[in-house]
Amino acid sequence: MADTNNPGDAENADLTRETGTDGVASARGRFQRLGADFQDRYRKVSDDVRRGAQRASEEIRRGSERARVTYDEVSENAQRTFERARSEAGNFSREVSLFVRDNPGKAVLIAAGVGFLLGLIARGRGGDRYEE
Amino acid sequence: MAEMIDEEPGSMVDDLIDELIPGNLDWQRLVTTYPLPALAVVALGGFYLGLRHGTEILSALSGYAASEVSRNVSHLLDREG
Repeated sequence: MADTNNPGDAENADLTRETGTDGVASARGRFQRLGADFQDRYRKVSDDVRRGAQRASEEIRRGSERARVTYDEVSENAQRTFERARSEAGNFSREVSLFVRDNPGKAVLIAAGVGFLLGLIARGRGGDRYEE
Repeated sequence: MAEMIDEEPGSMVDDLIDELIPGNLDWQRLVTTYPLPALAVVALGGFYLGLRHGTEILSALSGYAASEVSRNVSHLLDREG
């Protein structure tokens, strides 16, 4: 029968307990470092993502603002051009009407001549299609 | 003759159109009442004529002009000779 109160065994047990405690403490420290490292990286990544999202949203806002300004300018220019063209067309039509009322014969002759010339040009372009 | 020389070109054109258009149609009133549609109709008519009978009308006009020129030249030569 072995003696359980052997001083060597007790030392061995103490040593084993100490080694185990050190291992646990070391593993805990490593896990804590890993956790802290992970949290740090997670914070950095989330900060990067937040900054990127803010920048993207800022860019989108600026782009939409620019597009709105450009659209307003183009629309205003088109409206101004249309108004001017309409006004000029109205003036031209009024002047033509006045000329026709003052000189009906001349106006009829000029219109017939212009139409005749256009017909001649169209006939020239169409070749012999209109030959009878 | 003097009356013909004093006559304005506008009235000559009116007389020409009066000769071309039937007498019961008051074309001047129509043209002055509806100026733009009347011009459009006349231009369309001219376009049709140019398209269908353009070269015939041109050759007839140029023949008439050539005969008038030769008649005037021979008249002048007869007077000087």
